Amino acid sequence: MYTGPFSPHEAAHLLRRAAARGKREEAEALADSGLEGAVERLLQPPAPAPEPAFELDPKKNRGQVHRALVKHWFQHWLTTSTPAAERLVLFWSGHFTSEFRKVKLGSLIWRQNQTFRTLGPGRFPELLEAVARDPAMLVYLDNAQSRKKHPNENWGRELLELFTLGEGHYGEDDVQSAARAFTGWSITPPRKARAEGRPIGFEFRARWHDKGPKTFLGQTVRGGEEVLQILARHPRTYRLLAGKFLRFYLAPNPPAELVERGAEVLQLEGSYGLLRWLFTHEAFYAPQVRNALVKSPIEYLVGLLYVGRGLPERVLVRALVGMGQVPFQPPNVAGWPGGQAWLGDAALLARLNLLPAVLEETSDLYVFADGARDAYDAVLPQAQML
Amino acid sequence: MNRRSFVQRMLTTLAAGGAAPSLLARTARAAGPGEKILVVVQLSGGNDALNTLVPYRDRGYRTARPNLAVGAREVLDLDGELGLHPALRGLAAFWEQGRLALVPAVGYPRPSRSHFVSMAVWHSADPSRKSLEGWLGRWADGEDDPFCAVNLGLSAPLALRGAEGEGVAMGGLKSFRLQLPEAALNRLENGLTRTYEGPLDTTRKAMARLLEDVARVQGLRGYRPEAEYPQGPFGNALRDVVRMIAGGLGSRVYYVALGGFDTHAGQLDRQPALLEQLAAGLGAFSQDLKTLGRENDVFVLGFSEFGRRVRENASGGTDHGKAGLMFALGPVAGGVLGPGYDLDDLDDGDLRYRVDFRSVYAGAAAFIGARAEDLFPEPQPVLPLLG
Repeated sequence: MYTGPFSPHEAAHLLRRAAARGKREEAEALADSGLEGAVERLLQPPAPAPEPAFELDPKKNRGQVHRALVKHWFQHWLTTSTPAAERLVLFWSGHFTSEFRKVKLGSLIWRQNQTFRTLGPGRFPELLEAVARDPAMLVYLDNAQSRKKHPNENWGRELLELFTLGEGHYGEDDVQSAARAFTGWSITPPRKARAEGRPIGFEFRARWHDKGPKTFLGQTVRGGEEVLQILARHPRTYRLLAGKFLRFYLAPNPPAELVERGAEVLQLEGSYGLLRWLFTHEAFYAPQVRNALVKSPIEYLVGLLYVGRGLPERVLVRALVGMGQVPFQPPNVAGWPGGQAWLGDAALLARLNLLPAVLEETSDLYVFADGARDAYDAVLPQAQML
Repeated sequence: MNRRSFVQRMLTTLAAGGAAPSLLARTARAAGPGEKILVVVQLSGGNDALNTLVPYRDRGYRTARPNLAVGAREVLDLDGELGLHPALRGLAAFWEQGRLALVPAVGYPRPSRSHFVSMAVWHSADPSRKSLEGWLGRWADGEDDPFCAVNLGLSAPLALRGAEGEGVAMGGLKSFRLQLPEAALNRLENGLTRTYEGPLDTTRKAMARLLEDVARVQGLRGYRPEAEYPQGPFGNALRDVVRMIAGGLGSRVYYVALGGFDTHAGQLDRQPALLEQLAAGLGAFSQDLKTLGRENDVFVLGFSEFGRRVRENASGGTDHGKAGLMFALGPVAGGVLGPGYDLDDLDDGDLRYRVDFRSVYAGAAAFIGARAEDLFPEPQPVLPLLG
């Protein structure tokens, strides 16, 4: 438990890490409420995001839907009373990845984003179960087409390799068993959903399902539910996740004993439990941790827009493309690599050249760039860091 | 020169819009006249190979494409069996001079018909899709100069990404500059003169490197290309490449793209215009290289993420297929290379691959002295491509 001073200086660090946006007055108000009060305020249950007011699944111009969804999420992140929930949504969307260019249906992509918002702060087993039945994920990793005759291993493999255990903690036969267990986990055919005027949902197709027994991680299972249960109870899952959480919220190379402890907290108390523990931990306020994370382009832009002028939708998306991170479009199933990988020439140039369009001389960069005196400090290395 | 005076001089230079002599000296060392250069041309969207290099005598081709087949009277005949699409007339002279190589039926094992999966395979040169590095990025990791590979586009493509760097990506020569008010530039200068600890200092170094790179590009010797390039991003990119070569940037690899080849419908209205743009761009590019006396120092390699289905669809287009066509232009072993198309042995209605694209990559990369083992995880036989 951190017992040092909690002034606006520490509160600004907390705001950057928790929410990726903030102003001086907010840092001051958080400091006034004390460390625990501040953390409680930041980790209130997520305010719901409004449903988009535009057509999500038009037959044409899907790129336009993608842009509009980007803008919609940004708008919410910039105005919500619970911005910490939105940085957590970003975390989960880099973990349970789906790419718009493959899923193609805005309604599914948006529903997945909503799932991260509602279930992301809670315990992992519930989130995992929802993701395994999430139509965007079922399309993205091809499980929607997986049937007994030709089990598709895409979902089964990524589930083990990227989403839970991590490489080296399962065998090729476990991937195959998982793939067989999830055969028949599918979705409403889009054409049928359209004809009947209902949303695309999870559908279990018994005829496609392989009912036979499978050996998965040494246990006999039949359905996907059992596979999920085993994974959601597995200590490796929490170690993998805790490592990822700490790299996202603490430092690029978090100490192993913190990851170990974080894994236990995560398993017992869920994501917000983990964040509450971390945000009140001594290690979180150590000088070498401050400014130790590179803002991702989304975080950079959210932080800037919060204290600057808004951008038209096209300019917003163009800026994100130029900086190398577009929401709902990770480079591949492994998500965004992050860290120093954000700081290639073209990306960095795009970050800097964006500043005149967004900032005003009077913009308050107290939270955005550590130690900022005025808006011009947006060009300093600190402005690139969380 | 210490960093402070270096940055100061550079910023003065940037503000004045002039050249930075000290940087030019460094560039000249890296460039060396006669340095061999590889230019990769990506045809994005899946170019229809069969209507580019046309097997116009093949009955199977004509039957599968009652509306789209290019007829014997239209093609630019190459060898009595194959012909170029008439929109590629601009490339005919290269064929006659033995400066154009065409490699039909190129692909990889267990092909994907997804644009992005297949593109990732072509970029990483790893059909297992395990690697997050690109084929040229792996080579660039062994080079000192950050400018060894330059992409003309908003962000660095996977092909140029290595374990250590990602090449240099620029939207264009003109836009590769800092567009900040002077007060901000001054603040930037001051911010980079002090050092920090840990990741913050790594970021400071990245920013300092950006300023150096921008100064290097803005400080290139001025050169005004003479040839006429087609309008649009592709022509602009090739013109920028010529300017960078002429200006002595010293980059060994340039990466440019021409998009729009995903012709599911109305292919007759779309593909010829794209092929014409391709031929016009490459023609202008070669003309300028000749004027510069560099035509034998630059090797152009072209590819697309897949070819299209043999059978046309009901919308006057073609759907995603498998094996495609690669081409090389310049000091190449001219001609049609490899075993060619086999329309009697299709893979689920698609051309089956008969040449692994990594063999072609290796053949082309030999031009800049890269060895096959520097390029991809699995060794591949090298297709001899150099003239």
